[in-house]
Amino acid sequence: MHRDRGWLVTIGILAITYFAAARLGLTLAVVHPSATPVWPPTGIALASILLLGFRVWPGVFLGAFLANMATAGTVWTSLGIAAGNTLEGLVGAYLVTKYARGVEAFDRPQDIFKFGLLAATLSTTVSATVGVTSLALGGVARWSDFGPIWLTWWLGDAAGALVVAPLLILWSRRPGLRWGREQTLERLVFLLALLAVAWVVFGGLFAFVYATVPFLVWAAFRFGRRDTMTVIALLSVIAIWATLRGLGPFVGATPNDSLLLLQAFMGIMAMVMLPLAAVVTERARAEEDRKQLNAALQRERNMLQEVLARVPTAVVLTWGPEHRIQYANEHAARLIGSSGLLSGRTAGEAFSGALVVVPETLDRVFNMGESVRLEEVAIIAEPSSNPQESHHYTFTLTRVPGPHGGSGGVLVVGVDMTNEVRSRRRLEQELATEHYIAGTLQRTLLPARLPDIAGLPVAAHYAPATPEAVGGDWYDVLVLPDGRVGLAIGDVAGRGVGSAAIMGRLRHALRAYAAEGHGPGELLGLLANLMEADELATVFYLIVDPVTWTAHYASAGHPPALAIEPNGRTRFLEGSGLPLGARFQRGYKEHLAAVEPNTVLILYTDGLIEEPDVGIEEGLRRLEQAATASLRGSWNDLPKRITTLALQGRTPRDDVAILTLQVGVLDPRRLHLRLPAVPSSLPQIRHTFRRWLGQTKTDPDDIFAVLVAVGEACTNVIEHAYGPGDAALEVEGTLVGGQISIAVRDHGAWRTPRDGAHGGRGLHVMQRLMDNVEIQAGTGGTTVRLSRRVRQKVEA
Amino acid sequence: MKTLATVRIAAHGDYSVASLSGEVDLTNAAGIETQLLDSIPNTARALIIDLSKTTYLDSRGVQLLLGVVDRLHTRRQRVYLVVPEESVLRQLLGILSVTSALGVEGTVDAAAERIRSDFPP
Repeated sequence: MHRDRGWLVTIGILAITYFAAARLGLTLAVVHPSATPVWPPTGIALASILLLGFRVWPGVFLGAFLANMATAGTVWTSLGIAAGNTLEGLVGAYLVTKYARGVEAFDRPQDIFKFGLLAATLSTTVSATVGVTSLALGGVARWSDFGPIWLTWWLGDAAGALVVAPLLILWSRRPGLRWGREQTLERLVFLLALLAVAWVVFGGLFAFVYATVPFLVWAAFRFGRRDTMTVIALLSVIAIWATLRGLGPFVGATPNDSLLLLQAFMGIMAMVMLPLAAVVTERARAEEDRKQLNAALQRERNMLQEVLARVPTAVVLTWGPEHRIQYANEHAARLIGSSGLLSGRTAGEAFSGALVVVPETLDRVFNMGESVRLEEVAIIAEPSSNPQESHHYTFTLTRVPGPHGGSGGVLVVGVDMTNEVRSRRRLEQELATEHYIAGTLQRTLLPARLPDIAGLPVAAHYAPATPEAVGGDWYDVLVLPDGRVGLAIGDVAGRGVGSAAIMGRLRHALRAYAAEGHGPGELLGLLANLMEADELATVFYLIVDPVTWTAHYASAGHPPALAIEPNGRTRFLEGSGLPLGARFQRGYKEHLAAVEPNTVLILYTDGLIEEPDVGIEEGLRRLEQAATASLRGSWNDLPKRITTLALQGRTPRDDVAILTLQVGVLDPRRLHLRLPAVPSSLPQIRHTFRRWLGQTKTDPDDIFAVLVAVGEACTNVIEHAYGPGDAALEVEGTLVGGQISIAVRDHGAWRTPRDGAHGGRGLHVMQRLMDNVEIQAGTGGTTVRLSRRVRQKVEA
Repeated sequence: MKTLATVRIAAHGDYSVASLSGEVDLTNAAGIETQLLDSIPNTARALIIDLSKTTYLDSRGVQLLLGVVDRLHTRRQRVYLVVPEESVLRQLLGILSVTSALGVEGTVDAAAERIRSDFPP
């Protein structure tokens, strides 16, 4: 509804405008009241339909009908003429839209010419024909006058179309006055000059019409199409006004002659000046476009240069087979260390200071066309500078094709990799440091030397999976205060410093707990309490009692220990506990196994039994075979022999730690001990003597006497061993035919006990308990010889 | 027996009984001495040191016992030793004249009886 109301308003305004223009035009009618020299309504109708659309035709029709009714016509002639006028507008608008780009018809000269032909010349014949026919049919005009009336009609309409339509369309498309101060001034001067010339030409002073042409050209060149068209219209109005008054250059013999001259002037001026203005405008626009394009190109160029100047990348373009530098950015200039201008110099000259890329490489890229990448080239700005501070660049050399094909030059791009290289080196250094720390830790945490226990030879071996990494495998051997021997082996999950640290914690805690006398099951429970979140470790702990020939053991998720009995039978000592650090702890069950004399116990970590594509059962079976086959040979090398045979030359997937112990029988006639001269050796000496003498069925009172005498001698040595070093204590015993002889040697200077307090008491005790006591002091040390008869129970 | 030696204390009002089981040598003598001295309250008159379960004792151990006797003597507290007749320790204590100097009982009960006669109520 709203749109319809708008349409009705448009129709109304159009009809009124058309009517007014028609009344104006009819005042000029001289040949016939309905045929005028300029018929502005034709232009209005054409412009309206082109600008507002075909649907405004009723406005044209209504305006034309009313205008004719108000003139001389009847209803019928008026209807006919109105129909003709409307049809003329529709046909003209249709043709212009279809062939001359519609309202844009005045942008290009070719469209202006088409407009002139189609709208002004062709479509106006419709109105003239229909209109004059209507007049003749209605009896308003005579058929004999048809020709002149038709011509006048047609020319009037053509003039209207040529002058009024472009004026309306151009103004409607660019309505405002956007003139600067100077432009306004120029137009003012122009207008005054034009009016003066018009007054001269049309006022009758000098009827030379061409005097107006320079002004139209002025307008066409300086003011654009719209204003040019306005000037043409203004001149037309002046010309018509003057001609009607019998003034000016167009006054002919008859009014019709005048009319024709006038119309020719208007039509030709419009058809010449409008295209000229269009061409000028087009050229100006092209010029403007070119300027904008240049500006855009310049901006882009500046941006590119800015980017090339700022990237931390050296960019050099060499040209030709001599590799002349065509372009080098600032970074490249700094890198080369050149102060002068690089462009034009050859790469050989320019790069001679710092040989970054040798000309031979450029030759290769230029000639072969292959791209070359030079990774992390070290660039030392000054030969004296610290290599640590040298910069590293990765260069990419790419061939650039020439303008006529083939090679043109070489593009060298150098990316600064200094930070990457430095951080990588730092990382490598850190890794090396960590490896060093972990390795040192592990070496520190594994016992440097295993205790020498009479009758219980122990040996161990460690085979890392890879030489670099450090695993968390560990083992330990402890002589407990009561003479039993503890064997521990463990594996901490993970590698590196962290694992080594956990391993250290476990080993030392185990030592402390073992010294406090905790049994295996209880001890593993205590160790489990020490584990922190996300730590996981397996441990196997076994205590051998060489007097009762038993072994107590417990396992925290560790592979079972292997026992090989003297008859060659093997058996695995299986534990049942979860690894230390496992979420659900259930405590550790302690197992008891009888250990026959001369049984070999083997503790190990899983690197020995785990191999790709082989199950644990098969791994254990292979270990059994390897261990049994390795027994012959020196005891110290046993773990190594077993490892070699079990792995069959493979590098283990995980580290391997292996610990062996033979639960041996002491020689009944001879005993030899060599121990560090420290207090903790005293219990060990007693336990070994008890085992030895117990084996030989010696009387308990005599055993006690021997123990005390040996204890006094050894205590004296230990108390006087100087320094914390490796002072050693040697005890040798023989037992033949009920006669026991013991030699206690030290390798330092014996001091005769000075203070009568207990030193003298010790010597006194020895002398009273033994049949004979001798002290031999020498340069290499002192030997105390003790002997006595002992009672031995004879087997019944 | 897990550690080298342990001391178990039993208080009986007038006297305390310290049972020393295990072995006493250079490595633990000082610790044992402290434990023995701490085992007797100021109110008690006597300490019975029971060596029935002591498996090893050398001159160092004897020295420690004599040291305890001396220290308690200054506090007017007496020490009674218990060593069973069949104990291997007897020969050593005899050699060092401890048996004759202190008097040694065969059982804790015998020692307690001695205390009752030495300190009539």
